[in-house]
Amino acid sequence: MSESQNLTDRVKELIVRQLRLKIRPSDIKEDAMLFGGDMGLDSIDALELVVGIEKEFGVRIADQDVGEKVLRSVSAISRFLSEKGIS
Amino acid sequence: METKAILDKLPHGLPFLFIDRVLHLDEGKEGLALKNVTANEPYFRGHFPDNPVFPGVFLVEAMAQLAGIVAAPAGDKPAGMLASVSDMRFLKPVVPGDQVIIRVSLSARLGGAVRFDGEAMVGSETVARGSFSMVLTGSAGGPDAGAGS
Repeated sequence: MSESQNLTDRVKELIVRQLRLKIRPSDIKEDAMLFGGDMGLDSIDALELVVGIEKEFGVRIADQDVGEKVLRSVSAISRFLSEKGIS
Repeated sequence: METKAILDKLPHGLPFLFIDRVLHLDEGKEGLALKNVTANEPYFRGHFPDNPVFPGVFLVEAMAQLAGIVAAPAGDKPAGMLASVSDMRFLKPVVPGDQVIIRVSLSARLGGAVRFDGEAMVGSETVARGSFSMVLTGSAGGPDAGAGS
């Protein structure tokens, strides 16, 4: 398993765990719109993900504009974390 | 901050105020408040007859009211709605005569949504603790603001 695949899987697991979703991590498509689209998550879920990402990866998302870009999809979150040096 | 100032600051009115005094306020970060619980309070007639227990949900409400004051920009009247409560534990009943100390600290903010960790204590004992989030309806985010919308 490549490092980026590993990170993607961790992000999916985090989403399911933090939001207590009744799906398997593997059910989440990497490019699925997390908010306002395929997954139907809301602004409180976004906040929970910000908390989860900080707890799991030690990376803080403080700005709403950054949040909107980063929390778009699993791949966007993974890319953001990679840029922050997380593998 | 005394009762009148709290009422001026919050959208709530009597008899739905669950903090009597704000002891410490660090705007945007944390707050500490107290609630004196007396046998006079009307809900004790039913919760429960002959066994007055301060409702746990009112402890959450007290945390949310304090959080509203903490999260509101200085000089602004907050209009927040409780949006989620997670992992809230009620560890010990609160009864008439207790002085409850409420502590909240902001753990995350994204647009108009804020998340707090809250704790209620009587003396040195924690009586409730957990996390909750609110949507500040008066702010730019709005209740329907999704991260991707």
